[in-house]
Amino acid sequence: MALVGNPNVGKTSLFNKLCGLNQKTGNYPGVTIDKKRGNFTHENIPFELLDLPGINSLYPNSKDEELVVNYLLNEQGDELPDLILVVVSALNIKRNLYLLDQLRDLDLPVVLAINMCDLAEKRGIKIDEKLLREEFGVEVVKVSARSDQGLKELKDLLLKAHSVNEREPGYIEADNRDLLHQFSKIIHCKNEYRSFLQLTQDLEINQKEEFSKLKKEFIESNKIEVRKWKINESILRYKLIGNIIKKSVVTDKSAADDFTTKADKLLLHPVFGYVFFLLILFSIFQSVFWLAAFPMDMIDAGFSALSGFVADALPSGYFSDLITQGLIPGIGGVVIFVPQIAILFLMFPYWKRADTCPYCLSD
Amino acid sequence: MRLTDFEVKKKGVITEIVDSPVAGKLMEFGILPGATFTVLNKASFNGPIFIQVGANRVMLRRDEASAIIVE
Ligand SMILES: Nc1nc2c(ncn2[C@@H]2O[C@H](COP(=O)(O)OP(=O)(O)OP(=O)(O)O)[C@@H](O)[C@H]2O)c(=O)[nH]1
Ligand SMILES: [Mg+2]
Repeated sequence: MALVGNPNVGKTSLFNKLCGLNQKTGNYPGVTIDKKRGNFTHENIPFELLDLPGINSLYPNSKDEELVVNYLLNEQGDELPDLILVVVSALNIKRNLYLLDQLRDLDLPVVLAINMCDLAEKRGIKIDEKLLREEFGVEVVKVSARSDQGLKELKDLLLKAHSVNEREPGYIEADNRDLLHQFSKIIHCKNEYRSFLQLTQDLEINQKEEFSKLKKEFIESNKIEVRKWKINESILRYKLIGNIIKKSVVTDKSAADDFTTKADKLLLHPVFGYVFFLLILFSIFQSVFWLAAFPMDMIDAGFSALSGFVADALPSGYFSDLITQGLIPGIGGVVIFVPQIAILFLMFPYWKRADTCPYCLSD
Repeated sequence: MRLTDFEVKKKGVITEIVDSPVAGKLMEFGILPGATFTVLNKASFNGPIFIQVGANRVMLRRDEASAIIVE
């Protein structure tokens, strides 16, 4: 099985929980940049799980996104997963479902895990998973990688055999369907969305000259506006998702005024934002000095004592001076900064866990 | 009007995305014609613009934001 989802939705957290591993997570996109394998058994059935970098859509924008898309679209298919476990965040479900909707068209078995349900409850977000199951035609389960909610249900779902019910392409205008069908035939691709993706972008997997020539000829002879196809896909998909969300997701606005919203008001203020930023950096700086003062004094005292001891033990002369006035104070001068550096690095994980990275569009 | 000229804290509607290399990417984020949005913040010194479209908050560079036509 492969874990696929938008960046920062908790794929690795879920992977760690399922496989009992401890891969790196972080509250910002782009933590996982490579494929990671893990295993677990449930009801005596062994599972192999693949954790992947987050992708925004099947149109990759960076090397790590490309890795995922190439993996999902690889033509041979012998490496393809038996099942895609799509992870979305309950907090940003509309945008996350966009990727699900795309993956749904690849005709691979899909299970949808809605993560961060613990936070969603706090923010007054209610999601009707039964309706989502009906609308998308995939199994749906609500989970929280933080509070362990729903993990058992998720494993039980993975045990079931998953068939794929193919659906009508909703990503292309009716007038263009014939063209797409023709193109699929020309490149011998069974799945039409797969050929749509290959037609509308240049992927690493089909860099072959033969393919490029074929594609170029097809686009030119049929006067296909590739960019328009792509834009229409977005419009069509969001229209569908918007309608589904209207029916299946309710947000209690009074509860939505949560901590992040309030904190953002202050922290992103045009003037106070910078003041806060400087204040926080300053306090980190101060606390590093303050916390490190004690171990630094100890190291200082230790090295002085050591050179005193060596000076007494050795007969005086050039050799003694080299050790007691050169070597020992020299090493001491470096070691004395270790506590400051260590404390600064120990603070980094906490620093990153706090919401310091608002979601940025590019990279 | 371009999004870059839009006032902070006001609500608006996206009317058009100028055809550009970033257009496809913006649309994948749900930044589509017809969508309503709020400008949450504009950073000083010509910095990024922070907008909310639905429940989705996106930080945009100025050149990305200038491809978005709003009213
Ligand atoms: N409250 C809460 N936080 C969660 C949950 N799942 C994950 N997180 C947090 O969300 C952040 C992102 O988690 P990751 O597991 O690194 O996300 P990812 O999808 O692997 O991210 P990338 O590898 O960058 O794509 C971390 O700070 C997690 O602690 C959850 O169910 N509830
Ligand atoms: Mg990860």
